[in-house]
Amino acid sequence: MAARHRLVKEYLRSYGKLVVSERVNDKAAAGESLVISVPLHVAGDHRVEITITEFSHNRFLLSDTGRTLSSLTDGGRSVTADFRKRAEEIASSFGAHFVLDYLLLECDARDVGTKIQVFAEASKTIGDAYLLQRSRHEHVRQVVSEVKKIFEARRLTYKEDCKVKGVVEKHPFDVYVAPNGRPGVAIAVIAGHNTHALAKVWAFNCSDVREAHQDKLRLGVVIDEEDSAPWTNPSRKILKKGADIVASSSDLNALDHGLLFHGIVV
Amino acid sequence: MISAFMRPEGPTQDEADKLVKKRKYIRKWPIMIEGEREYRMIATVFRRSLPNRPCGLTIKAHVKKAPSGVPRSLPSCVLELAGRFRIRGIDYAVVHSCPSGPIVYGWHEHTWTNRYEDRVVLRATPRITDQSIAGVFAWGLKKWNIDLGEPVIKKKAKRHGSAA
Repeated sequence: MAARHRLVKEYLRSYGKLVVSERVNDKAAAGESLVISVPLHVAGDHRVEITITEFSHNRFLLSDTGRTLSSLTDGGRSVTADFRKRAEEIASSFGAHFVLDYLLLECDARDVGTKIQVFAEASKTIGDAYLLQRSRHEHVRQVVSEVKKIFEARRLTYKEDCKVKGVVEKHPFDVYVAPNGRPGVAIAVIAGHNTHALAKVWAFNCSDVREAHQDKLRLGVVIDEEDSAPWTNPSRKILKKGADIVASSSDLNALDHGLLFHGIVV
Repeated sequence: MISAFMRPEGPTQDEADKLVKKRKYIRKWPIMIEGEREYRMIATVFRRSLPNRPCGLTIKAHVKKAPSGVPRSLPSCVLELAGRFRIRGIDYAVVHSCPSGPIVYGWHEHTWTNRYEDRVVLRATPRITDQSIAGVFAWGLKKWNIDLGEPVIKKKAKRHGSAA
């Protein structure tokens, strides 16, 4: 029993050392304010910081001064309307709420200690969204849906997210139309930072698939310009060597023309 | 060693450092945009050696609008690659622990590393004197080698035939 007390005491002593506070001098605040930095980390290794303002006698307002969502956007994560909605749901489960981008919680003097802990947990839970890795770039998905619209307008029945057989291995394509009297087509939307390496990979993928399907299948690559580093001319040339159709996300007409040129649509 | 937090499509530390070191420019001082929830300043960065071709870098500063009665937040500024990698950044924290160095108090600069991505911080030098959004934006421009205004391209003077 004594050992347990000692452990709890030691933990609280260590935790107390890790908590740092600072006074805030802002005339916009309703009363005296204090920032408490607690040892809970969110994006960019930022600690959860809680601003406590006594806005009336024995009434406190806890706020994150917009840091929870700021740490996400500054770290390159997008805060979408859907995410904001989810963040509001999480906040309300902790008894907090958002005003503009500030996470807020009101409390009395007698339960301010508990509420600080609850608030820190709410901020940490929302801020931890940065740990969710994006499986694919968001803009790429938009480009894929634009490519699909072109196929729909041409009344082509396609398969989505299809693996197409090559001689060496199978390769992932976003849109696939099977050959049916006319040649089929497989389109991949690509994006990335190292464009030269990406071009080489897709040139190989295309040549591998072509070898397996010969003239029955045409291969197209759509470059997502917005979600990539700038594409250099040598990288584009490598892609053009491998793929039948190379189009840019900013000019999808080239894809449409390519479909006509290669006899996939008439 | 690769951290679990690393995103494989991100730049290497060397690539990020080279991009920061290169002389760059923005075309003009951006206007401050008043959004629903924040004020922001955004500018596309170009390399002086490749004028008018975006190099994938954007410099952004923002400050959140505060509800009444709550202390206002301080602005932050980031140099972003491909819209999602903070290769450099400046912001304020009461205290910020650093995975590969000492704890930093107050204004600090985020730098990009192979192992920890943007989690490594250094004390902001030179000191931030102007804590407004424009002040932080200007600090970022100066610190990360970004000039204001397009470079003047000097035309080479034609050499006339040498003396007969």
